[in-house]
Amino acid sequence: MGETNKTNGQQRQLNVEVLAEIGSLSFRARTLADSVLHGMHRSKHHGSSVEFSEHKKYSPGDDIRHLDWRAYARHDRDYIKQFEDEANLSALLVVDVSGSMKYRREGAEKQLSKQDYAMTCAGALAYLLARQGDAVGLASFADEFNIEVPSRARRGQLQEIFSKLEALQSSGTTRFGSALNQLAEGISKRMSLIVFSDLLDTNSEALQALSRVAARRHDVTLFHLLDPDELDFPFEGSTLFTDLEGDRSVPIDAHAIKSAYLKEMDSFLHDVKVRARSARVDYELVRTDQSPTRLLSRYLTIRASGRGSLT
Amino acid sequence: MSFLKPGMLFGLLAALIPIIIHLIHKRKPRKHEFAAIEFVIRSVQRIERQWRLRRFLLLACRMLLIAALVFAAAHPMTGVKSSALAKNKGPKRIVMIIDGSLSMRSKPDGGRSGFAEAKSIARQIIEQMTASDQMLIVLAERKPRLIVEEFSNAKASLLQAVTNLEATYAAAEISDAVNVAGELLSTVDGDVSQKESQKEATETSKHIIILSDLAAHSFQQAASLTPEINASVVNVFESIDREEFDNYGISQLEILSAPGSEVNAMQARVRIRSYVSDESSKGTSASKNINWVGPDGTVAEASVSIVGGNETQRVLEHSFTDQKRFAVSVVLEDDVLTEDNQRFAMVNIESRVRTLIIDGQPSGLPKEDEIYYFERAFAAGASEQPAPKIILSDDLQAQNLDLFDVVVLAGVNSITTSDAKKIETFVESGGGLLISSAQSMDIEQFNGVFARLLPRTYRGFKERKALRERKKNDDSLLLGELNLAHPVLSVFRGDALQGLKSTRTQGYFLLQPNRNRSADVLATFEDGQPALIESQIGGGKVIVLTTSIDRDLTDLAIRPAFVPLVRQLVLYLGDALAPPDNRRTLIGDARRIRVPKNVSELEITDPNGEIHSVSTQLEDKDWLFTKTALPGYYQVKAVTSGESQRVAKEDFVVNVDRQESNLETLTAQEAIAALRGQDIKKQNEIAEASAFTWDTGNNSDPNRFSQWLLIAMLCFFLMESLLTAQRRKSKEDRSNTSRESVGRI
Repeated sequence: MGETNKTNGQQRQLNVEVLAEIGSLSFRARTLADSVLHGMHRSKHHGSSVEFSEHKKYSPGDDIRHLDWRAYARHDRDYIKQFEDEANLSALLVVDVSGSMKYRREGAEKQLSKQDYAMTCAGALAYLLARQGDAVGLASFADEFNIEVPSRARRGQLQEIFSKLEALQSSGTTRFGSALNQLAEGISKRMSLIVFSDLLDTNSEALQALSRVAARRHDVTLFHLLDPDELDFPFEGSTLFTDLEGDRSVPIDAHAIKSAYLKEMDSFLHDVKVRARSARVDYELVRTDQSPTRLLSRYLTIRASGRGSLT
Repeated sequence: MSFLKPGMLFGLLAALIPIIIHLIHKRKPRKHEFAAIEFVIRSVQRIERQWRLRRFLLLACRMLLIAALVFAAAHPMTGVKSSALAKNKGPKRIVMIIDGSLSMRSKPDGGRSGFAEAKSIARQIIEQMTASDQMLIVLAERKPRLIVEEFSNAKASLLQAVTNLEATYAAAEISDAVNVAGELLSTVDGDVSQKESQKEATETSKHIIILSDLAAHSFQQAASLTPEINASVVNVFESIDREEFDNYGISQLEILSAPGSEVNAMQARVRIRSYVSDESSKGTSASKNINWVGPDGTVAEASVSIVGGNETQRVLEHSFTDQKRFAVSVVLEDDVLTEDNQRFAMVNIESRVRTLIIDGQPSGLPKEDEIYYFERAFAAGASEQPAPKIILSDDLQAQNLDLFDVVVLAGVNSITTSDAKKIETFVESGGGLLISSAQSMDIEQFNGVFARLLPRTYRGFKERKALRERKKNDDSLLLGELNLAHPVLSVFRGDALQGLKSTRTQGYFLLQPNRNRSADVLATFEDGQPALIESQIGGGKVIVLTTSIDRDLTDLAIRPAFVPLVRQLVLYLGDALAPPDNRRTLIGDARRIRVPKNVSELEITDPNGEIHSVSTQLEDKDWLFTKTALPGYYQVKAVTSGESQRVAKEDFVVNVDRQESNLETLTAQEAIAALRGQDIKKQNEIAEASAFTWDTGNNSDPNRFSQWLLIAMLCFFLMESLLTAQRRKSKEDRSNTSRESVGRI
């Protein structure tokens, strides 16, 4: 645990352009997960129980301490023993499916939209966690919070998560605050919440809600996804900006407001980061043109090492 | 306000370019769906007011900068504030003098001419007239000319009169126009006292306004005016830098025969002068192209290097064909004053005599050869003529005499019948023959072959020995009577005549007293025997000198009179004795035209093709033509019995006065001093009591206006730069911010 596979000193990363060319979400997520796994020596988690539950075929990264030597002697194949209460981690992947998550620059086919990026990362994490026998579930939110797949560690869980992920549609406006309030009230068991959102919420209750969730001793990790356009504002000339979530529009010389926009964005990011720290929420700002491999690796590594923060 | 180059004001439309660009950018916004629109809205709210203000300022700066540039290019001149006019609120009588001299045609800085500017200012002054003001306009040219006959308040007609004005090609003296204006104002004073009340007459102020380029040559004389007249001088070129008046002009053009070359080869000797107004231009060299233009176009070209402030000469050569008398011009490349870059001259090939000399007694010792003396006399006395061709008598048969106008038999002892026949044919067809006798000539043979040509046949030789017997003190024979009415000898007067008469002769040929043949004796010896005798044969003339040209028989060849005598003989025999017309006619000069008798009218075609009929005949039979207002070639026709016929020998050219080429200007104060009769270097002297008052009613300080315009442009430019720099800085800030964002991730 904690070690990464390095090739010529550089961690192997999967390019966003390569991911974008993969049509199927499940395949994209698995590819990403494989890319992450390539850097791992072994599984991060193992169960604390000793009550045998079932066998599982060995795959690279599995803890060889759990190899069933008898089964190997009998069948000449590697099997891993799995135990009933092995999963000590219960994770819930929370994906923002509001309209703003659909954003992708016109003509940038080799880019992933924020939602595609979020679902790919969520799928890969689900794959990695489920593969380790952790309980993993899926929730989405926009106007309201929906638990798509409850967090469980069972067969077929991954397939269900993938099918739900593929069925998710972006719509409505972000009500992140109210969604998290619903979540905080609905979950009694301690669990790890992994949130993918652009946080382009108009009110500031989102982070307050996150701090409330964290106060209930849930581990909260927030992946703040933003498109390069939203961070750099590379627009020029007279432009009519229209809202993805509502019907607002602003005609303006993009060049003229660029400076003011970037100041607003900086202020916003700073505010989010400060609030996340104070709420003991692991926060990571993610550009959607950056490879998610390193991001997920870091997440898994830090989570396994028991440290509380990504940053 | 007026403008030196009003056409440039169309450039003001360019001030709309920033607005057009702004509208083009604003017209079609690209639609873009954006997730973080909330930040966009907040950004707009944050910067909107500041951004709009900056945008407006940037737009205004750019428009004003373009407008200021256009204004500057149009050379603005603020309105005339003739303080003399402004001071007097009561009724005014104004004589406006507009300088119409050639120098007013100059276009310094490539803009409007001074005359156009003067007209523009004149219109402004007319517009400023009040209902009680009256004006009269005088055009200062060679002779001041009234443009409006009477004092008038009708602005429309005054404006129309100004519009119709055109600058002349003549020189002008401003003081003449000022004097005329003074007389006109005095005359009006008398009329007013009769017609109006005395009080009103005394209230009326009198003004003279002079609109001029203040060229120094137009202010050579003092004017005389009474003290009650207020006069103003307006410099129409006040805002133009002095170096803009650097001008080149052709100061002289002479057309001469090209010595030692073919008959029709001519030389144009051109003198080009550089007139520099700016001291810094003096001494600097400039290269100019000149073209010699004949009747059929350019015949020679050259490039001339002229040192600023100096004059240089260039000689061009060309051999003309066909025509005998025609006009040519030399054209200098264009500059600030176009009109002085062309000078005209007449070419007169008709007056050229082609001479063939037959050397009868060639000698190894030059001084024993007649040709030696003849050549030198010819070179000295008829240098403008083509050099004579010299052959031996044996070569005569092969010579084509049609190529010559005069044949000289110099000391030929005998001549063959065929050669004599050839010469006879030559003379009958209009040629001239000069025979200088030789002591050893075969007179019997000459009398035989030249029986038709000789004025009188030779009788025998009379020599010194016989003379000595008769005159004991002096064995030489002087000349006796001379026919001074004859064209050949008419030039000899006084000492020259005495010099000719004192020619000493030791031997000569006696002639037969042939009463049947008409012959004119031009000169005789003391003994009454012919020394120089002439006869007309057919269309030609024959003159026989009964003695020799060399020093065997006479000292004629070494006397000063020999040179003009040879010239007169050759020109007379070649029908070219009429003196060349060296009269030079400048713009405005009256030209005397000599035409044959029985002419009832003259028709003269000016350079524009306009035909002028001249009916003024002078007492001495010459005609006087005064309409020489244009530079160029004037053709003369004489009308006889209803038919007009060219009189080519009276054709003439008119040139501009070269003093107009000098565009060196005075200041208004210097001009006033010059008109007051003061030394312009001491213009601050206190005027005498009798001197009239002057006021420099110049265009109101155009230099200061230009300075303000320059400062304004500078301000606009700085402001624009500042605003643009701010935009650029914000761009850089943004890119830095973007990099920082990436860095954080």
